[in-house]
Amino acid sequence: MAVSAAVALPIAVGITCFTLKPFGRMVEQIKAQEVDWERAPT
Amino acid sequence: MLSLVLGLSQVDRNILSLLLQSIKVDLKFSDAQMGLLIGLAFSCVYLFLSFPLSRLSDSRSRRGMIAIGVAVWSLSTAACGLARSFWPMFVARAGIGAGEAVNGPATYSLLADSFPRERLPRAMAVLNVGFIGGTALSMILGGLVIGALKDVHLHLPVLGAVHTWQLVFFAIGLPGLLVAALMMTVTEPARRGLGDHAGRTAVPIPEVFIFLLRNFRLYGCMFVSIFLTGVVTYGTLNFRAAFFQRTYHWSPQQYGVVSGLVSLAASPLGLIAGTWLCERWNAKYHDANLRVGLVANVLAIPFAVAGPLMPDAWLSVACVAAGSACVLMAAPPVAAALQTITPNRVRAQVNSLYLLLFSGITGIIGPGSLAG
Repeated sequence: MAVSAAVALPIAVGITCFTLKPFGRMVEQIKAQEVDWERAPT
Repeated sequence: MLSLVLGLSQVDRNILSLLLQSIKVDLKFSDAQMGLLIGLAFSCVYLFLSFPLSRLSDSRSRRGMIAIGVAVWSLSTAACGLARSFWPMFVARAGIGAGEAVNGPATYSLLADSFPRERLPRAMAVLNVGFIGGTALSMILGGLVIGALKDVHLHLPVLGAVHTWQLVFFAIGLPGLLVAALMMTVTEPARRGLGDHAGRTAVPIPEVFIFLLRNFRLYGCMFVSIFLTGVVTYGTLNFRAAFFQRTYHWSPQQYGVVSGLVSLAASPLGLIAGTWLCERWNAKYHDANLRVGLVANVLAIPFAVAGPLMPDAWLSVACVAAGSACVLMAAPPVAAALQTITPNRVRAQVNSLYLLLFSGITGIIGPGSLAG
């Protein structure tokens, strides 16, 4: 159990690091679209 | 309401484990048959139906889908009490799996449209309380119902003499119909973030996978990370009782009580910490949800590794408690992250893949990967 945790969790952490940038960019885009939509003429 | 539904699903799913011995003696089932009823009958249907049903949740009323799911699993639980041989019991257990397959994806999708993005982790945390409370309640409530009904002897016209275990299935299953009716009083929120899919009812399956492939770096990495965490979580969960028995010579009862209490105490701490941190960071970072997930997993590593190596059982319990709190700290922000980035019309389908990966597939692979 200790070995599995020692291997799997650090890999999960490492992989999560790769997701931070694209996730942040996607959220930024979504927020921007919401602002555009709020400002759009009705 | 959604938390209550999730809690109820756990009660109906787990009640069989408390009645195993009575059913085995009364219906003369073998251990292998009981194993099939607990595992395969439920999981197979759950795994196969989760994705197709989630497609309906992406195009139809999610409130209605959840209500139908509750009614199906409640009636199936009651039907377990009618079974007098293996196959009817197997079909009834499969019915519980079918009813519950609709619940998770539709619930996540409904929540995402009911709360603003920055409040979603908090809503997910409340939902998780239902899950944890339901799991604990299934044992407590089940035990109380068994105790209350053990001296009741009924003789019904068609069924004949009714055993305690049958009454327990009726008592746990039938009130679920009331919850299904109550579910219909929940307001179905307007679908937000329809994007390119506005005005369409169902998105073709290839389009769902094209969307996932187009964002492969994000979804692929998220799913692999969730999968690895799930393998450790589920594997540890399944082996822990035996580990405490072998290493520290604890009885299963002793471990059961201690782990139940530890889970009830540590889980809310993790959920609150994760939600609090995520809401604070949301104002500063666009990637706050996954940052919290990252921090939670980093914090969980030393506890997960040290737990099985502790010389004393109570030190190991302390590590388990801290590790559980850390793992649960990540749950609401990561689930909310998935809702935030996924377009509305494919959200339940992506959620079904997420839930299949975390609870379905890792539930099968996890224990095997940790053996030895």
